[in-house]
Amino acid sequence: MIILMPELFFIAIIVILTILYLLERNRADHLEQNNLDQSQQKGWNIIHRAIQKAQNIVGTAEIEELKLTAESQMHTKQVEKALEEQFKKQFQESAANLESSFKTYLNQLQTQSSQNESQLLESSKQRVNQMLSTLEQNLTEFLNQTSQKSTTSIELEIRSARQLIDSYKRQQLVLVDENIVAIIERTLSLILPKKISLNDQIELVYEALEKAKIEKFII
Amino acid sequence: MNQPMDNNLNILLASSFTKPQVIKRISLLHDFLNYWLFGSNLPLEKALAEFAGKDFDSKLIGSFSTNFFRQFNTENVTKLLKDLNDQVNKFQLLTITIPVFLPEHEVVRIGHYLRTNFKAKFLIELKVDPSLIAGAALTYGGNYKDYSLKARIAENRSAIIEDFKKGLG
Repeated sequence: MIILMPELFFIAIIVILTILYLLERNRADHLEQNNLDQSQQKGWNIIHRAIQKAQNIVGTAEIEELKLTAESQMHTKQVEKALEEQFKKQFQESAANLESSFKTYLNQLQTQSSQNESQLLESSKQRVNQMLSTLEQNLTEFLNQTSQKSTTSIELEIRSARQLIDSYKRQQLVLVDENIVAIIERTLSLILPKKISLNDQIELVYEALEKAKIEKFII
Repeated sequence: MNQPMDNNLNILLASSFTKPQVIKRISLLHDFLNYWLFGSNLPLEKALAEFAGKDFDSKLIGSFSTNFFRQFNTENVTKLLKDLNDQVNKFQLLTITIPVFLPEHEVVRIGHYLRTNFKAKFLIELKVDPSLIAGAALTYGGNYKDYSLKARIAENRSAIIEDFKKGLG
């Protein structure tokens, strides 16, 4: 306590001394002037003893304080050293463990990375192969379909063209036939009236009337 | 139809076969009766002689007998002519389309042929269509029948075309 609060200690001493002084003075005031020297001597003795005692107390306190301080410092240093060593050891161990773990982790990571890389490469390869295969298949299919469509389209076009040609041919043949008939009719209408006599014409009229009679066209 | 009217019609149709001929005869008869009954005050024989001397067509009036004219008088002439006209209009028409024009006497001959060979009473209408080439086409009672060479050609169209093509090689 003294070690920790030396000011208070001194103040206490001073207060004590002051109190003693006042008490002595008070006592001296009460005492007779006669006893003043004695009392003064006694007082001085008391003060002297008190100072001695205080000095003893202070010295003891200082020694105790120094002792305690030294012990404390020593203990603190020991503890610090022990702690430092312990920490250092733990740190080294931890560092070693960490390094080992990190190395292991790195190795695992590397291994995993290699595996992943291989897998990725393999997967990419497979995927690319699959894509190429699909692409090739699609392309072949597309080419086949296009070829088929083109063939079908060309066949349809050819068929359509043939139909058109046939239709045109038929129309032209019909026209030719019509023209043939028209030419025959025209030729006959130009030539026959000149070649057929009126009597023949009349005979043909009678022939027509006979047919009408046979067919009962006129009832 | 009464007997005198049938007789009049028979007399009229005896030498008339086409509708224009009949109409022409009725018109001529109408003109003569007007002349005889309402204009001339002449006896029938003299009136006939004078009327026939007017122009060429008027000579046709001589084809009717004097007894035929004696049935007409100023009171019945209008009615008798109207009845005669109505009877003629009721006759059916046989339209004969031919490629050439026929002389009048041939038309009369055809008329006689038809009167002889067909029971039905009808008048003839002649039309000319050179495109028929030869023969005739008939229209009767709303029906049409083509007996012409043109129709023959149409009927044998395919065969003619085939023969023509064969001929071309």
